[in-house]
Amino acid sequence: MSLDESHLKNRHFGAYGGRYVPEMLIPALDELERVYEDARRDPAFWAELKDLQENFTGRPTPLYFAENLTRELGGAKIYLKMEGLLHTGAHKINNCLGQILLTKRMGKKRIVAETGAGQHGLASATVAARFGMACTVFMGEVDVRRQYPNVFAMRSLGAEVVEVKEGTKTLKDAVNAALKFWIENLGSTHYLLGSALGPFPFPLIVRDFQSIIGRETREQILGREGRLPDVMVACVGGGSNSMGFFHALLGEKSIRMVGVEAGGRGDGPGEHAARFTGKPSVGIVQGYKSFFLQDDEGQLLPTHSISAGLDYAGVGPEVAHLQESGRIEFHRASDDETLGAWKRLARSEGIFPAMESSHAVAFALREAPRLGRDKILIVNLSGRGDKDLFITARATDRERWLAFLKSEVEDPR
Amino acid sequence: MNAPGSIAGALAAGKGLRLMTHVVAGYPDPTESERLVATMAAQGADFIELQIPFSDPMADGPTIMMANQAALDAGVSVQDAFDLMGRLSPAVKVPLLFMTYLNVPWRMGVGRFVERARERGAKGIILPDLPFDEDLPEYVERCHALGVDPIFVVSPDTPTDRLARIGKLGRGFIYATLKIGITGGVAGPSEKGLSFLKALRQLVPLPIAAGFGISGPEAIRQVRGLCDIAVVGSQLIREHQRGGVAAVGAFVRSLKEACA
Ligand SMILES: Cc1ncc(COP(=O)(O)O)c(C=O)c1O
Repeated sequence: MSLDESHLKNRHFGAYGGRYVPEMLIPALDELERVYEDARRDPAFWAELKDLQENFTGRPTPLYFAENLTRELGGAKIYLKMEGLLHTGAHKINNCLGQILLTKRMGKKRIVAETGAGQHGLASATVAARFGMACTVFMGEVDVRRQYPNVFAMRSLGAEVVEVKEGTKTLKDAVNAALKFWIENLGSTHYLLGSALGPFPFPLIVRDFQSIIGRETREQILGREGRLPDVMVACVGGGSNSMGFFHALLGEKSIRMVGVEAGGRGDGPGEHAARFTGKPSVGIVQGYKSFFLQDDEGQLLPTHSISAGLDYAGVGPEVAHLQESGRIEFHRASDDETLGAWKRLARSEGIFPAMESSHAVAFALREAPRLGRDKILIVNLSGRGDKDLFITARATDRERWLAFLKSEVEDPR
Repeated sequence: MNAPGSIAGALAAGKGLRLMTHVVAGYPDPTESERLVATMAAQGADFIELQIPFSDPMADGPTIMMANQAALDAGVSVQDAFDLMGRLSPAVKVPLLFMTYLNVPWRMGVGRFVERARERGAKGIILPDLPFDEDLPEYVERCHALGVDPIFVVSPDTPTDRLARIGKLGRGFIYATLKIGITGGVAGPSEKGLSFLKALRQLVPLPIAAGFGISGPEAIRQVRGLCDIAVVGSQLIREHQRGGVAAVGAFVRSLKEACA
């Protein structure tokens, strides 16, 4: 295996990962591994990707000093890595650009994707439009409702959005549906998986295409502060924005790396999506070995989060490995705390973070005051909040919002 | 040579194409699924796979997925499926196999799962999401040691070097899918699927079961002579939805007749 790194052996990150899939997927995964390995060594591939990143999606993204928030909290200096300013509104497009180029190299003309928050679906639909490919996106029925702005955008871009009505009707079930669609259409279709999870080599490919976030962050903070940060914080759904943010800096032992998962509305089964800070247990589901929220017999449990993108029972295998080794520490933020963080960042800095990213902001609000003013904390703002209109308006401005929706429906125009 | 009631014993005892049918344990309810297994055996099924319901059945199409979900929603547990196996295996004359997804044995402990399956009388285990070369050698070792046949699933795109290695690790039979896809198709075997069966004969020393897309007597006649066992799954659930146990019994009979 030539894609090996020190903790990557036999397609596992430490004890986690692998490719536990039906035999019929093995040739397709082998092909993807081969094509990616080829691309990885090809300067022309990276040159094309760089051009798209800079001119299509707007890299590098700013590293913004949150001066007001820092002053108000009176502790560590807070910086925000502004992935939400990217075209399509989140870090997800980083991975989609890379994988659409791989799709082209494989000679495939069609992509399938899962989506929770709709950000990965939107980014997939966008690169499909840009490269003239057909695109099918599976999205849980629950998520279609709460992230409707993205559903409309995907369809406007020409993608087919299929509502998944099985199981918990959220991200996990969208992954199942996308995997099955892929199995049925292997010859023509690439599965453009959206997070650092699933069977190998997906966790590696997604992490590599996202690792631009951390490489830019390093350069930017060295430029601004002349030193590396003390704390880096990212929200963790499947693990793509966090792995992308952390990866280039994992070797810097002085940096505390913090993952924030969805605390939801309580501790009971089905009330949160806290795989590590809940009751951690190892499972093998959706093609990979990692930590899952599951019952004693191995059935996946339902999850809940105010953010669709963190509302998932599993977590990427490399994140699992780095958590177990102690490199990444985990905390959680509840739905209410997250909404509070969303509002606070809007009022203090004029920035709407996505609900997912608001979890990381919530941790920063808690932690910064406890740290000295000489410390530096960077939050990865993985996405912007436009897509969350139906969540935030309902939660924070309920009466006016519902009256408005009603008047829209009743308007005879 | 062959252990009493074993898959190999059953294959050696007769001739011609055999029939393997499929039941989701606890679907539509525990009593009915027990009746279904007994009826299938009485009407000519030579092997029956009992699927332990799982929340995320990756290789299953809408029909079997729905049955998994319905069983779980009704509270059917892994323990219930083992109890069902324990009651049925002495009662029916044909070998029963467990089919499920890896996380179920993983959670129980793979070795313990194999031991308990054997205790309850299962003759084989099918785990479609465990490739033979994944990092879980304990599974095959325990199966071999305890005489429970590990059945591997292969498909028309499986490279020949992998087929050769699977042929060495598998026992009982090898399960060949007739298409690249999930369960529940009604299109019947493709040319590609049929030529795969012919090629497989030369590549693997095990008996061959063929499934995925066999939904009636016509498809069975198409694979006759090319494999040893025809596998029918989703269509049995659809028959049950149409006409209950009686319809399933009659359908199994018609499948069995097509085998001859
Ligand atoms: C803005 C945003 N942040 C974070 C996530 C969580 O995913 P991951 O952990 O892969 O970054 C999502 C997923 O939909 C998202 O849209």
